[in-house]
Formats: sequence, C-alpha cells, structure tokens
Amino acid sequence: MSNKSVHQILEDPEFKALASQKNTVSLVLTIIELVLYFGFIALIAYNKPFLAQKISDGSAITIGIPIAVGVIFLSWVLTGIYIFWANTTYDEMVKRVKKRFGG
Amino acid sequence: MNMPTQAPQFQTIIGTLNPSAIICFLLFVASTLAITYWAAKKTKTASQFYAAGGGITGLQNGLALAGDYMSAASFLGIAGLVSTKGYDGLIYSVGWLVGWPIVMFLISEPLRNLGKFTFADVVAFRLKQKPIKTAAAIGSLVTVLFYLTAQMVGAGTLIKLMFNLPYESALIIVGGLMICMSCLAACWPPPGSRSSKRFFFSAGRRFWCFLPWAKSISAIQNCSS
Repeated sequence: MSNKSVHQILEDPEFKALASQKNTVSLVLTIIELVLYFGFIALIAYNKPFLAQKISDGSAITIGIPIAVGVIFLSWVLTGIYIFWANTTYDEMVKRVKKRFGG
Repeated sequence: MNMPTQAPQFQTIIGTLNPSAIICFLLFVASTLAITYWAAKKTKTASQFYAAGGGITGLQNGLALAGDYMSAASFLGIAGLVSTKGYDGLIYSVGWLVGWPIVMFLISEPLRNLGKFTFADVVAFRLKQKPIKTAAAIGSLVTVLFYLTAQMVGAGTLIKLMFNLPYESALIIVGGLMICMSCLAACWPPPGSRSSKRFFFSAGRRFWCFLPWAKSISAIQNCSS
C-alpha cells in the first residue's frame, strides 16, 4: 500500500469516526472497571464496619460477600458489553471502511 | 463422667504409598504426553502455534482461557487463602479477575490489527526490536523463576504427601517431569487442539488439588464412623 493511500485512509472521516469510537469505548469501559475495583478496595480500606454487617439476623454471610461477587459479576457484564459492541458495531464498521478502500 | 480412655485413632491414607494414586499419576502423565505429541505433529507455522491457524472458535478459546485462569487460581491457592484468611482471601480473587477485562479493552484490538501474537512482538513492532525483546525476555524469565520456585515447592510437597517419598526425590521427579513436558511441548508445539490440551492440563491440576481434599474428607469420615 502506498503512502498516499495510507494518508487517504487516515484522513477519511469514516475511519476517523471508527478510531475515535474505538478509543472511547475502550477508555470508558476501562475507567468503569477501574472505578469499580478501586471503589471496592477503598470500601475495604475505609469502611470495614459497613462490609462486616450481616446480611440478615443470624446469617453468617456479611454484606462484603455479595459486593465482592458483584464486582466479579459486573466485570463479566462489562466484558459482555465490549464483545457485543465489537461483534455488532465495530467489526461492521471495519468491514465497510475496508471495502471502500479495497482492502 | 466417663472420660474417653483412648484418643480417637486417625486413619488416613495420606503419606502412605498408594498404588492407585501412582497409577493415576502415571496415566495422567502418559496421556498429556500423548496429547502433546498428537497436537504437535499438526503444527507448522507461528499462526498455528499461537492461534491454531485461526481455527479456534470463541468457545474453545474461552475454555482455554478459563482453564488457564482456574489452574492459576488453584495453583496460587485461592481456595486455601479463603479458607484460612476468610474475606482477605476473596479480595485477591477479585483483583485478578478485574485485570482481565482491562487487558482486553486496551490491547486486544491493537494485537489483532498488527497480526502479532505476543506482547513483545507488538511493542517491538514500532520500537527497536532488539532492546525491547531483550527486556521482554528478561521480564518473563524473572517472573518464571519466581513462579517456578513456588510451583516446585508446591508440587514437591504434594508428591511427597501422596506417594510418601522423601521431599528431595519428590522434587527431582517433579522437576524431571516438568522439563520433559516443556521440552516435548516446545518440540511439538500445541495445535488446533490447544484448548483441549490446556483444558486437560488444568483439569489434571485441579484433580491433583482435589485428591488430597477427597482423601482427608474420607479419612475424617472413617474416623467419625
């Protein structure tokens, strides 16, 4: 591929939209994941009594357990969101751009 | 009030020479070697080595990753950590899992776009090849060294416990097996069935982790009945 056509692709509005959408999705999901995890760690660090509360009277399970499982579950959901976006939106956009430039 | 005249006798098969355990172990080693051999014969190119020639389905890849994750977690002793330290142990398992989606969000696309398979290849793609690859290799070797030390101690203790061998010879046997396995895997790299191989490997590891538990449970049951 010549430099000129590389330049053309880089200047292409559809390609630019594709690249910026990709960055946005990656960054937003990463930030959500980090906030989720460090929020959990901060909760452990600064509010232990809250996590140590029993889920109900006479129960052995504390609130901390479902919260920890919830963090795992939400990571799983975020992964699902990314996969869904990549399979439906992103790959389609890549295909379209490639087709236009005869890739 | 009657005091028990005799302390209950603990009956356990842990630490005794157990033929069924040894046969199981040998069968497992033989079958993994056979799978490695069968798999390696099909592998010719880098794409086949790292990605099974692109012939892996999402489910297979997921199984391979899940196998890796579970075997790492069982090796690192999450279950034991949770049982002895309670909630503190649980925090570790959350942290490891959380790292995975982040890796995927940030580097899965660049990796695919470049058509490279390893992190070192990707970084070296835009930078100077030699220093980057040297740094990556040193990083891997340091990690492997520490990981291996812990793994050898763990495996040596397990073999000692199960086969009633002295710790030193258990260590030598495990080390020898590991070297054989890695040499074979390197000479006959994994194939289109990479996921199945990994899954077998990790299933085996889980099996070895569970066996002592099963034994101690049955020992407790024997004792209480």
